[in-house]
Amino acid sequence: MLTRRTFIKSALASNVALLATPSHALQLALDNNQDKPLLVFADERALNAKEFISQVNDQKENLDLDIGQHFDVLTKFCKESPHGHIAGLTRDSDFFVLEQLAKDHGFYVNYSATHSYDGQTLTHEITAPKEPANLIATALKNAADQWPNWLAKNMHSLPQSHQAMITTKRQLTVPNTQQHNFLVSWSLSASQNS
Amino acid sequence: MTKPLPQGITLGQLNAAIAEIEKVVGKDYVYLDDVKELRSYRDPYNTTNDADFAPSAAVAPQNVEQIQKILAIVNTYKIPIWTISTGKNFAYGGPAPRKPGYVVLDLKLMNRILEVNEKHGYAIVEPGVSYYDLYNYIQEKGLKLWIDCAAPAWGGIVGNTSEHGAGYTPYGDHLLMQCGMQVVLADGTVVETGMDTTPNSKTGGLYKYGQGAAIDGLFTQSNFGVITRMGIWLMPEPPGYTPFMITLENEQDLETVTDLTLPLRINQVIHNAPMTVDLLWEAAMSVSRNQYYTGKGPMPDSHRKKMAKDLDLGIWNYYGAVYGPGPMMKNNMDVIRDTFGSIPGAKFHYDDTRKGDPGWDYRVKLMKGTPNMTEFSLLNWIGGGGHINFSPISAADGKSAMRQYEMIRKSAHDFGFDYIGEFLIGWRDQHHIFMLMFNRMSAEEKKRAHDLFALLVDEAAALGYGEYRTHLSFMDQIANTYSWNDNSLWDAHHAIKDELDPNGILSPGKQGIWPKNLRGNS
Ligand SMILES: Cc1cc2nc3c(=O)[nH]c(=O)nc-3n(C[C@H](O)[C@H](O)[C@H](O)COP(=O)(O)OP(=O)(O)OC[C@H]3O[C@@H](n4cnc5c(N)ncnc54)[C@H](O)[C@@H]3O)c2cc1C
Repeated sequence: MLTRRTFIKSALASNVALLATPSHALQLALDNNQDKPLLVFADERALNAKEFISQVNDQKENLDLDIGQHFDVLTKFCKESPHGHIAGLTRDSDFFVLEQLAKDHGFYVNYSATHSYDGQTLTHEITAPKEPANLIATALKNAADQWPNWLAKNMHSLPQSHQAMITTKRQLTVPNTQQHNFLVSWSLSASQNS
Repeated sequence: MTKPLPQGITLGQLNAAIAEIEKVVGKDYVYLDDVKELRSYRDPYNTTNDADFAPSAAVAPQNVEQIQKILAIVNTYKIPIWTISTGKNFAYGGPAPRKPGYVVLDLKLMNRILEVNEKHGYAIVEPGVSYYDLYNYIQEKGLKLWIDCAAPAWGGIVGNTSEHGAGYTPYGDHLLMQCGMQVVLADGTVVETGMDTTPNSKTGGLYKYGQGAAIDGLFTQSNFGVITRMGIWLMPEPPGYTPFMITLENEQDLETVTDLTLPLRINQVIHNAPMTVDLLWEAAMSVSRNQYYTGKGPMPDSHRKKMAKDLDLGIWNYYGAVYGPGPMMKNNMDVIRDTFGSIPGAKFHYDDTRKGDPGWDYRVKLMKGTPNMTEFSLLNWIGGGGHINFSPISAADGKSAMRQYEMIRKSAHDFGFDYIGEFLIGWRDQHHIFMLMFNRMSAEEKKRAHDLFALLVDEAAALGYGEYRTHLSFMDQIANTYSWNDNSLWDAHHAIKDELDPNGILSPGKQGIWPKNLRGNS
């Protein structure tokens, strides 16, 4: 594992073609949690989140304007899957509320990223443990306007250990930014997982 | 990460105290990990730094006896604790303590609903009971009672009432509806207020005052005790409910609508606390700012007007409701229509035409005490939105309302922020809530918001206005504006504090009340 990580890190540093398939790189570098139950939230009113959720095969919830409508689903999942993993691509306020709620069930944040558009610029700002933060940042950037798809495919690979986090930013130029809202992707997992 | 420590306390002392507390509540209920567990005891909406309000630990006791033991330990080590109930006090500090290093005393596990009395319309609850919990309990039991909740219903009866919070049914003044409480003092003594002080009391939830000084208020917005139980009156489900909304076309209509409201409100023609809500607050429920304006600074009037037209909103949007039997509601609504129909351009809206509009739908829920969280949508007006509320009290008087509105709007615009606000007309006053929204990922914007808030406190004070509640950062500044007669009110608070809590362990600095060892250091 360590050698792979080191390899990928050095590959990233030397900018080799590995990142042409960033999801593969990530899966090698991050804990692979394919078997863990996953609950995914998305706000389908936002184009990117709609795209994202259409690719997710796990248990999923399309969010209402009233995030309170989804408290029961979250609570039930936390109780039934204490080793599970909750993730989403949502409005910022929904993440804020769900994070607060989940902490009472022992689920804490281990990854979050804001995705914001300003003029022709798309900015991803990732907060996660250092190594995955840099990998995800690069992967999201490489995915260009397909970043929601990339996220959907890599939900199971998002960091799930609770370590000190850093924040890192990547920007890229994309067309058609007007139609896109500010969104946050995030992942929470139980503290026993660390 | 360095452990935040309370002023004058060493890591060794903190660890020793924590080790003793763990023996009382068990390791599972002491939270120490700064990366995961304590992150959610911070206030992401602060305008300075997370570190300014970072706790060193949190502890969740399960009963009064455990609280007493914890108090004994922190008294020995002189470690400050910060009491929260449901811990959702966002816009005013969330669950975070006033200063770094305090230990949060989180009462979330004390969440029993001890009694709901349908006949007399009251509930007695522990601090961890949220509005959702109480509502669900009432629904499950099929009781004909309504609750009254704050806009985000994940908070709870004890925490919200402690803060002098407000809701939207006729029972919206929560402290007014509170009846009886149990409090643990800093030395561990348990006190009942009101009628429950008599042995075998049968009237604790019915009559507020008992005999002697009515001291319940002393334990709200203060740090004189830990409230462990509270009675709250509940409204009997009325036979009918008619919510309405009036859209108003002009800024100046705030003056007229406020003046027209007072007699209707004070004479109970309008039963709940009506709200005059500005355009952006309403719009933010369904659109974001950059859908209408991508420039910097406050949104220009031309864009605001277009948005109002598109969304069928007013520059001001007035919500109220009447409750009761059909004929009574009809009478009241006739008076209300006659009164406000005199404002040029005023347009009435009801469920039949407005249903499905996010702003209308959640207000209709709030005015009948149906818990929801929709108001959090507002935070998406800008990406990464954080906010603190500037909440001055105004008279329910048109000129006063306009003066406050113009003062706040001007300063907000000078500092590059939108005015997003509402007036909630209470019994004789108005709570004016200016939601100062900023991008919490921008240090520069946070600083600007901070400076604006500080200026507003002084500007309001100069005009004779004080705030009803505030964020951790501004508690001292606002306390200093309640300064009549050489700060005699705060001197009285401090005298009580010194007497009841000589070691200064309970929530030091809450609302600007400091124990003597920390006075002058804030
Ligand atoms: C979008 C938005 C909308 C809001 N709308 C409203 C609204 O409509 N009405 C309203 O009132 N507020 C509103 N708020 C503010 C806040 O969210 C609520 O007031 C909330 O109910 C407070 O949190 P809580 O009930 O969990 O109280 P807590 O956070 O548990 O407590 C609040 C404070 O009370 C004191 N306290 C708590 N428990 C005790 C105790 N047992 N003993 C002694 N002192 C104690 C502490 O100082 C504590 O910090 C809003 C906030 C946001 C972000």
